[in-house]
Amino acid sequence: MKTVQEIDESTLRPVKADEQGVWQASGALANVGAHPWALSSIVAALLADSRRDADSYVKLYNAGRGAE
Amino acid sequence: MREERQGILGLETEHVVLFLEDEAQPGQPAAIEREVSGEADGEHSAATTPPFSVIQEVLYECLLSNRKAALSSGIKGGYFLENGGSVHLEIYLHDPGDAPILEVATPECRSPRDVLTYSRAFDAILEDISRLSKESFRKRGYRGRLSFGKNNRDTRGAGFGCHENYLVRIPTSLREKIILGLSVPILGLTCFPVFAVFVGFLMLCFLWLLFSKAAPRLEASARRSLGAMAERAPRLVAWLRTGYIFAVTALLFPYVQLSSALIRGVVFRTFIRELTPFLVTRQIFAGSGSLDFQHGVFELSQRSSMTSRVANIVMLGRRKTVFDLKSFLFDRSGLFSLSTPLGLFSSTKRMSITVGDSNLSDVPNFLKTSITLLLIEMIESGESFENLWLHRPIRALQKVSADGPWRDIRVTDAKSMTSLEVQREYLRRAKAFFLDREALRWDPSEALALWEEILNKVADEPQLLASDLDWSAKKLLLDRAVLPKTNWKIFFAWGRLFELGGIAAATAASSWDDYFRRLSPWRRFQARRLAEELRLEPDEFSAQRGLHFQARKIDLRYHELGAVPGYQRALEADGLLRRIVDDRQVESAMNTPPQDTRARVRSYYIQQSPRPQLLHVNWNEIELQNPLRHIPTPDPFFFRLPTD
Repeated sequence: MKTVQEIDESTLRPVKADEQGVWQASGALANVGAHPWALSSIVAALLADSRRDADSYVKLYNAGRGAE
Repeated sequence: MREERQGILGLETEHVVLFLEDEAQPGQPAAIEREVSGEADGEHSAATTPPFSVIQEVLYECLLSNRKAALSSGIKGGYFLENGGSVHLEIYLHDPGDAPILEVATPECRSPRDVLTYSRAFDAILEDISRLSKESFRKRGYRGRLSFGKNNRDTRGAGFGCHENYLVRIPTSLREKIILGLSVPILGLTCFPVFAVFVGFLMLCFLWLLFSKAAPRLEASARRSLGAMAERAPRLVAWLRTGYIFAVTALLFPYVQLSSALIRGVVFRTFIRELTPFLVTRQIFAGSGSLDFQHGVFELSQRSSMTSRVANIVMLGRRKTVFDLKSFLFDRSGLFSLSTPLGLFSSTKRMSITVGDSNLSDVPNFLKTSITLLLIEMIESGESFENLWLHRPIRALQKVSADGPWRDIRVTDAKSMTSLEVQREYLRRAKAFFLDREALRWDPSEALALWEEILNKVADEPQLLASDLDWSAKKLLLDRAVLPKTNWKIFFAWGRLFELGGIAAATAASSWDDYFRRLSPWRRFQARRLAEELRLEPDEFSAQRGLHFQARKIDLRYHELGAVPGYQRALEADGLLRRIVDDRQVESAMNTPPQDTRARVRSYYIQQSPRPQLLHVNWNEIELQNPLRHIPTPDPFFFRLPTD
């Protein structure tokens, strides 16, 4: 995966969601997996939680007409 | 240290109030489970999910538990706490399915570090409420607890805000004074409809008084009937209050529009022009991140796509602004208060910035207020950032949010710059400006150094931003959820389909065919066409739907504050996100006010008061009820106590 330094100036153009990541052409987020805590146990626990009853949670989150 | 030029600042933050039932795991309310599976009926659902009145009762009961407070005398009610800040529920029409909105406001502060500390203190107060609410609900026959969403957008796209308020000083030139002077009579005329209604109201009160004198028994009976009606039909009261707000909005319309034009074009012109490029581009560090399924992008900021004007007086509606000029209508600090036409001539003005996201992490929360405050100081001193003025600010705001820090945006001299370059130019100028200046009340070097560090990371080591910034930490979680299963392109293609059909159909559908059956004929036609266009594979329906809602849950639950922490708080508790203020400072700020603003005076009287009902407080005044005594507090810099 390219880092910022490896990307040629001519490719520094934004793209919408591509196959590997948003803003892949900029290199900004393509390599977030390289972050020291990306593979930590807490991240794994949060991912497990996020799978649980996600549709119910999303449906609950509805401020409706109350917002501002 | 310079004192006279130091500003006052504070944050107002709105939160979604969630009721999470006990039986299920967090985020699994049983009532909704039943509804999804088609088992729910109205009565059962009503019995397991408390109505708004119970949520309100529990919320305030837990808020006031072991905490001194005073009733707020503002129209929205709520309480002022002993730390000088306030809490209230927003007034609006309540549908049974709507989650309420809770607004908290920090006390007036004089440094960004204080604002950060008090912002976190209110987070901690909400977490306290969440813990205590379980027992309060149990006593009322409900099994669950409250939790709070500190973000800016719900699942239907409704937005709620985090407003930054700064007291700024703008010297008005002679030319501007002449323009404003000529406008005052016209502004006065536009007030006429409000004046006419006010006179009508006074006449009604007078007639009622006559009625009470002429027929006291009948009047008492009528008063009792009205009181009983209000108790029996709280919804009617809510409707009347909302009707009142709508009526006031309609009557004020001409005045609001003319005031908006004057404030935007004359009074605030310099600030809007000089500060907007910074506010448009600061989302590269201050954004909270958000999934946008309509456009198929991960956005840096939640508020940007909802923002459609640079500056306006926003009364109602979904259209947001970068600057909200509403404070000019509701300031009640005296003859030259901003709510009168003469307020336009006031030398100090409250500037409300409404484009910012709510932040949970310390770094963006600290940076967004500290750098804004430094730039305000520079603009007040006559600095201009002419080379950064934006050609189309709202378009630039949305481009940066959707396309990232490297997106080119047009500045007025026809050049293009990336948002990173704009930020670096502001940084360069700020470093030079503050290098040889007398120290501020707070030391700007920490903020400037942190700003530079973050901008360097954006440029050179974006993968390390997840330890500092909300959008980046959230994006990391989303990448870890999405990329092992599919790619972003396919993920957002399915997201567009689910967005088109709505959440209800997507959650209820058992299969691809069932999903289309649940849509209206027109929606079904649109969805079929979209699915063909995007070449979606029916076999992937279940897996993609699961992933879609998992990602949406991450997008929302990242921001949760409660007894069971949201994802940001969980990451922070593990030491993975950088802290700027520590827990000891936060705990102290839950009960003590800033020592250098009028919040100290407010807090003093709150601490003296035996019960909240015996003290009515607003930002500009304190009213003791027994004995009746009025203490005006118009000067936010005044902090002397009677005992000093």
